[in-house]
Parts: sequence; C-alpha cells; structure tokens
Amino acid sequence: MKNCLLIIFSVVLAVTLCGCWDNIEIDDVASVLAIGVDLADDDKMNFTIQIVVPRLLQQKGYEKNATITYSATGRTFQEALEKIQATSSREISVGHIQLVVLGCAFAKKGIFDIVDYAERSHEFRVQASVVVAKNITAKTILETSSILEIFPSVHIMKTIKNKSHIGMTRNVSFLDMINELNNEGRHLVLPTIESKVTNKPKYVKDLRINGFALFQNEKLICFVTDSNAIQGYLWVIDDIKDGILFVSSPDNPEEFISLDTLRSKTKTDVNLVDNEFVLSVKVREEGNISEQQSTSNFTTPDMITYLENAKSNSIKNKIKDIFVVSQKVYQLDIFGFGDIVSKKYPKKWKEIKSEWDEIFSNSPTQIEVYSKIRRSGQIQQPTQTQ
Amino acid sequence: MPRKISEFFQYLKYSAEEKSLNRSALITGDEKIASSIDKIIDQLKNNLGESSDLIIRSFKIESFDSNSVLVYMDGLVNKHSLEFSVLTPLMQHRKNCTTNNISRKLNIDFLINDVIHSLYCFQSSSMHTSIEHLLNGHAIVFIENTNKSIIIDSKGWETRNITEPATEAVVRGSREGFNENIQTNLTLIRRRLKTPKFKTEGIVLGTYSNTSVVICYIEGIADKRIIEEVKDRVKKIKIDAILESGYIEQFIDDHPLTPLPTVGYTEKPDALVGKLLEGRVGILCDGTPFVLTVPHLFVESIQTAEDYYVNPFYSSTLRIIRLFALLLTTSLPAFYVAVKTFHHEIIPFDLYMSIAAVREGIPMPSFMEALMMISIFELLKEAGLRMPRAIGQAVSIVGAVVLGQATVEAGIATPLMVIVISITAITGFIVPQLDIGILFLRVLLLLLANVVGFFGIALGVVLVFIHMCNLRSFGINYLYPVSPIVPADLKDTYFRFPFWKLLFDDTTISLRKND
Repeated sequence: MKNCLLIIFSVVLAVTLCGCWDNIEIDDVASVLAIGVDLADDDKMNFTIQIVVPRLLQQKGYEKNATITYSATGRTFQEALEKIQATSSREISVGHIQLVVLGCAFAKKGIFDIVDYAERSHEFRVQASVVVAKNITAKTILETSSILEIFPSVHIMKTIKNKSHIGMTRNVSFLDMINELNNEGRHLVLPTIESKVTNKPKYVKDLRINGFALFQNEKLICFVTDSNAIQGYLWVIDDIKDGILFVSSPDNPEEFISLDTLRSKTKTDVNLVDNEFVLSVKVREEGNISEQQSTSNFTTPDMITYLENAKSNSIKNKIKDIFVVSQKVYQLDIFGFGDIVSKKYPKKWKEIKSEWDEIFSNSPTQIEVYSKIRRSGQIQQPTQTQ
Repeated sequence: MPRKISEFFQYLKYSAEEKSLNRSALITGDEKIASSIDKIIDQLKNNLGESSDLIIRSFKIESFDSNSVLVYMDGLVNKHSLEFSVLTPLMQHRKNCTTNNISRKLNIDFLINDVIHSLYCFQSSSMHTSIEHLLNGHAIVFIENTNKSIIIDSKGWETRNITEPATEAVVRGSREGFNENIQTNLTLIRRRLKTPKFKTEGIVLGTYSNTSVVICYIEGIADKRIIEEVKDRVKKIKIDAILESGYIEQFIDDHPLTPLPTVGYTEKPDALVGKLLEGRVGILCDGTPFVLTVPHLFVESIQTAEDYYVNPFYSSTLRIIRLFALLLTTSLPAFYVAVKTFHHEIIPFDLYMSIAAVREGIPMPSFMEALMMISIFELLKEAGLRMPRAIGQAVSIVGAVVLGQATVEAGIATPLMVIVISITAITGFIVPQLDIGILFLRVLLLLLANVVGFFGIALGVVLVFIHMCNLRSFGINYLYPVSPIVPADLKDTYFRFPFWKLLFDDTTISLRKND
C-alpha cells in the first residue's frame, strides 16, 4: 500500500513538475512551406522562407495567397533561420516543408551546406521536393504568387509531381537527394525550374519546370533540356508512370499516332565480359492506342506489330540520347550503374571506384525494349467520312 | 500520508462492524406465545407498536368454541386467498364437524391438515418466528389456549410487470427483463433452465431490511471454489439494509479501489442464463431488477447477449467495432491534443492547414479546450439523466446549442474539437458498463498527452494495462483469456466463432479449467 502510493506520487510529481518543454500550440507556430537558398556576397548564403499566414486561410474565396516570405543572410542555415526568427512573432517550424529551391549559383558551389541541417533536424520533412532554379534566384521563385492554389510553393510542388507523372520531369524528394548524394555509384539529378518571362515573374504560371540539373557529387555541372534525353533518363531509372509516345503513321509520315504507357518495368544490369563492363537496360512496356490522326485501321496484327516496333524504337532512341549525354558529353554515371557494380562485383568495385565515371563513359551499352499494345480504346476503327 | 489513508480504511471497516446489530435482538421478548388472546395481542403490540398496517381480525372457531385472531400486515397479503382458504374454512368448520364424530378437543395439526386450504402453512410456538414471518407477508392465526400459532403463506403484493429492460435494449432476442420481485426473477431463470442442476441458495441480509438474496449457479459447470467463495463473501456482509444489488457488489468486490468493474450485472434473464452456462455465479437480490454475475472479466464489457443470437461474422464485427469504440473513447481527445501540441509533423498537410485556420484566435490551449468540452458533456449527461422527463428536452436543446454551435461561434473551441468530443461521447455509449473507468482513463491520458505527448499516452496505456493485469475477479485474471493467454478460450472473446467451433464443453470462460 505504502509503496504503491509512493510510486503514484512520484509519477504524478514527475509528470507535473517536468513541465511541457516541447509543447507548442499550432497557433504559435509559423509553418515554413518552402525554403530557397541563394548564394550571397562573401561566401554567405541568402535564405528565403515562405511561411503560412493562418489568418488568411480563414478568408472566403481565398483571394490572396496565404503566405509571406522572409529573407535573411547567414553563413549557416541555422544562423539565417535565427535571424528570421528574431523578426517573427511565431516559432518557425520546418515540419511541413513542401519545397526546397536551390539557387543556380549556390548549387554550383555545392549543396552540402544545407543538407546536414535538414538531415540532423528531427522536424524537417524529408518528403519535400527539391528543385534547382536555373535562370532566376530562388528568392524570386518563392515570391511569385499563385492564382490556382492558396500556397504558391504547393502549386510548384504539385506541378513537379504532375510533370513527373506524365514523364516530363522527375520528382526528387529531399530523402532521395540525400540517398543519391550518399551513393558512390550514382550522380544526383534534380529537376530545374526557370522563368518563362524576361522580366521578373509575378505568378507561378510564369515559371516553367523543365529539364534536369546534373550534379557531380554535390556540385551542379550542367542542365539537360532536351525532352528526348529527359524521357530517356526516366525510362532508364524506371520512373515512367504514364506517358505518351508519338509515332508516325506508315501511310503518311505527317499523320501521328499517340500511344500511351500503362505499365513499364526497366531492369538495369552490369555484366563483366572480357574485363569490360557491359551496361544493359531492358525495358518491358505496355500500353494502348490513345489517339490516331490517319483513318486506317491499326488493330490488325500487322499494324499492331508495326506500332509496337515503332514504339520500342522510339523508346530506344530516347535512351540512346541520354546515354550520349551522360557517357560522351559529361562522363557522369547518373543512372546508378556504379551502384549495381558495387553490389555485384564488390572486390572489383574497390579497385575501380575512383575512376568509375571514366570506365562508365567507355563501357558499351545493350538496350532492349519490348513494347506491347494491349487495347485500342473504346473503338477499333476510327470514324471516317464515307 | 499512506499510513493515514490505510488507518482511515481500517477505521471504516471497524466502525461498520460495530454498527451492525444482531438481527434477533431487534425483536424483543422471545417468549413463548401466551395463552389468552389479550396477552397475545399485547405481545404483538409490544413489538410492532400501534402500526397502522397491522390488522388483527378476531373470530371464533365454532366447532371448538375457541376465540382466535388472524393477524397480517395490510398490503403484504393476498386478501382474497386469505378469506377463502383460511377464514372461511375456520369459521364454517362447525357445520362440517357435527356430522363427523370427532372429539371436540382443539387440535392444531387437525386444523392444518384438514381445515386450512392454504398451499403452505406450519405451526410455531415462538412469538419471534411468528413476527418475522408476519413482516415477510405471512398471515398468522393465534388460537386461545394453544400457545401456538399457525403461519400461513399468503404473500401477495403489487409488483411491476415484466417489461423490456431499459438499460440493455436488443434488436433481436428476448424482451423480458427482471423486475423487483425476487420470486418472479427466479421464475424467469427457471423457465429458461429446466434442469435439476440449476441450484439456488437463499440468504437473508440486512439487520433492518431482511432482504432475500439468492445465489444461483449450475452445478457441474460453475467452479466449486468460486461458489464457496461467493457464499462466504455474501454471508459475511454485515449491514443494516440492502436496498439494491449494488450494496452487495461493493461488499464482495475484489478491488474496491479500481474504477473498473470486477462484478458484472445484467437486467436480462437470457443474458444471466448465458453467463450461468459459462460457469458464472449469479446473485439475485430482492427489490432490484439488477442481478450480479461473478466473476466478471474485461472481455464481458464488449460482449452482449445478442452476439450469440446472430451470425458469427456479424457479432465478431460488432465486437471489433466495440473494441475500436473503447479505444476511441479513451484515447481520441488525448491523441488529438498530443498531435496538436507536440507532433505537428504527423498531421497530413491539408488537415494541418485547416487546423491552423480554425485554431487561429482560440484563447485556450488545446488541453483546456478538451477538458472544458469533456466537462460540459459530462454535466449535460448527468443533467439529462436527473432531469424530470418533461423538461429533459430543454437540456438536450441547450446541450446541442452550447456544445455544437455557441462554443465555436464564440471562438472558445474549434469545430474540430467539437467533432472529437462528439465522437468520444458517442463511442462512450457503446460500452456502458465501463462508463466511469473510461472517464478516468480519458482524463488521465489527456493529462499525460498534454505533458509529454505520445510518450505520455504510451505511458498511460502501459500503466492501465499493468493495473488491469493485476486485477482478479474471484480468482480469475481480469484479462483472461488474453492474459494469461488461453488459445482455446480466445474463440469467444474479441471474435465469436460459430457454435460448431464453440463446443459447449469447453466454451468461453469455462472456469473448470482452473481445477
């Protein structure tokens, strides 16, 4: 009885006296939606954060965007955050961050400066999308407003996800970025965002998400804007979810047929043949006929075979394009073949680790694409004038 | 401090023992019955005073030429049967008697055997016994110069009809409920258990109330040790009056200081019979429709009699829903407060933004907001229960407006908190037997959640489980058959298996497992 009461007392005291050290109400928090990092003078970094203004969320019809941006310069992330904190009435929290924009100059200098803070903090949401700003500063991007969404950064984030869904860019989360940076056999590829207009963009619609930024280790090397190469990259890393391919009609090259992709699976492998690494990419893809401009019937076995061949050739060409970029132009293993080697030939990997990019760029490639057409939509023969 | 508390309980225990009086001492003058009628009436009035409901009817048995009195308590006897089976035969005995050549000597045995038509009567020479039976609703006939009384069973008083129980409504199943008459209640059980194995044992409790209490069980199914333990505990009760079975419950409870019930109750005969068949012991108490069942385990809180009347899939689903409701009603406010004050990151982004929008400008911390809403709800519940039915509607209107609308419009609480508390309240009604336990747990978890977030909830749940593992109900672990785990008995806990899987020999809480 006595012991029991003593335990109860000590628990009650422990609970009530230790206080609520981490307790914070939602209305005392300034939620950061997006962070932009630019390079400032004297090797410092200029941080821009976009914060939610909850008061504006109550408005009817959402006339204004419910966000505000703050900027501060600092040598470290923490320093800049503290400077912003000093001007904010609410505690800044990065728990709901949606977007990280890396300025071009900052990315060229190396992005490690912000990675560590985000990795170390238990609050930082690593699912945030990462994007590189190409011809404008991250600050400008975060200061644009959105007509469609109440939060501009959510607009950008959703656009990236949409574009990645239709196979036009890649959505890279902060966690993916960290994993790719940590991976010895793979170089980082991030989506890029640029301005469509010559003067300062005012709305998110003035921005364009287009192409990739290739990194060597933590430093930005170049941008890839060719859409074939972009799609080729997505085919190789098996990140195609849905996409449209055009092939020209056999009767008339001016008429096109759209073929969509429903399912695809890419297997990448590396084989050591005669002391030479052979990079193999095998794509298995299937989809439907989604549109045709000519009036001929494409559902005959011959035509289907023709379409399947045309489709796999188109995919193969795209993959070849990106191999040219990565092997011949920049000599960077952006696909993670090095990672496969390190798992498959661990001993060999230790010897060649340092010169892998060179070995990669000289390795022969083997690209196989198997395409299938499954259905032709709701009709077989197109409508035609009699 | 702990010593003070234990001393206080010791004091309560002893003072209760001292107060309890010897019941027989309440009836004075345990003398023999006097021979003259006047003396007998004096003896009666000595004990009962000038009670207005004491009826003394003098008459004469002509054949023996002896003065007699019929004594009964007004309202406790069936007057009709008393008239026709006692008074009429005694007073008309003369005519029948003259034809037979029987000696004119007064003979009580002769009267009982040949004259009185009552179903049950016997003689006594003790005034004490006579008065005890008089108060129980028997009629007593005293005859001059015999020094004996004839005690005639003629109980008959107004009782409530057998109606549908208010606390345990069913969609499917018997609509009969117990009423306040212990005889009727026993009948209701007997009608469902036509077996000689069904045993009952009567005990009279309460110095002043002399309440009949009946312990019943099915011989061969109920554990003998439990039966003995129940009898032992019930017989030890010393109290002035038993007005409801709740009195007994508090005396025989294994853990009087826990908010969780370790003695069950039911108002439905079919539910009671089900529990008896599972090896439990029932305790019926005169004057209340609530029958106690022991041992009472935690799983019984999520079981209903109806579970066995419907398809096993249906009843298993319902049990899972009840368990889920139990989880929600205890931990939802705590979870909500913890998420809102500690773990903002786990809220989905869109939900977070809508919480942020409604939370703007609320003056109170989430914890106070939750506590306020819980208190308002509990007050409304109590008010709705105690209100005279005619003005009950006013309470529900005020409650709906205050809880649902005004607090939100006045900016005191967020609409989300109203939803959370409403869900908590609704789910609280799903497991009514645990009502108070749930309230304690809800507030405890809320407090812990406010202090250390999810860690606090985990801590609270662990503490409660440790507590529950420590509970016993008449020797059975409170969490049986989950802890200790008995796979065979799990067939009828959180799921109910079909009957062909639940062989009657080893179903459910077959307490014989402990033999």
